[in-house]
Amino acid sequence: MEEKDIENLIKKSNEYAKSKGFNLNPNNAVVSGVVKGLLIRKDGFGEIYCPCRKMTGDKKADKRIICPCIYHEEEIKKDGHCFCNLFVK
Amino acid sequence: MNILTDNTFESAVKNNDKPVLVDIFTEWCPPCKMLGPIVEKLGEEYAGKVDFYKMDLDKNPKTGDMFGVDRIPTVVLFINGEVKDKFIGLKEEEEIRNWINSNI
Repeated sequence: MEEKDIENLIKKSNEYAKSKGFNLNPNNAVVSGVVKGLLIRKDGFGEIYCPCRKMTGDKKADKRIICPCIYHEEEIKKDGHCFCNLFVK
Repeated sequence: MNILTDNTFESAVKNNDKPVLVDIFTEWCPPCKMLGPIVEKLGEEYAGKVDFYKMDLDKNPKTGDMFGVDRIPTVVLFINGEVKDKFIGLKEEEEIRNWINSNI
């Protein structure tokens, strides 16, 4: 994992958040931690699987937790942030 | 803090007459990294009253599956070997202290 991979994924996540009307977490330490977790799982398992959710090992089932996961919009609406705190209201 | 594994779960939790708190985490989960030191500190505070353990979910899938753990961090409190309560995600120290006190 290289610094530019982290920067690229942060940029992409930020663009995605803006396009959906929410934001990246203003806490850079949290964002960098989550993004590193995503990239470590990508290195290990081929996709940016959420680092805060259990992987089943079933590729089809685990598609749900490829970031942005299928849960994030509901969580942001309900809790003000997605479960791993990458995206916030 | 003591480490819990699939193999030690029975003796450490099931057959323990003291309350047992288990912090389930994974290596790369940022909220787990933030919660870890808080739970560690509370572990010292409750020494002798509550046994504290941490368990790496990726290395111990069997126990994780037993309790339907799908998000991390998950903290489970056992009384007499049975689940009394659990919470998911990052919480403040005071919140966790109140949660423990209201359950033991």
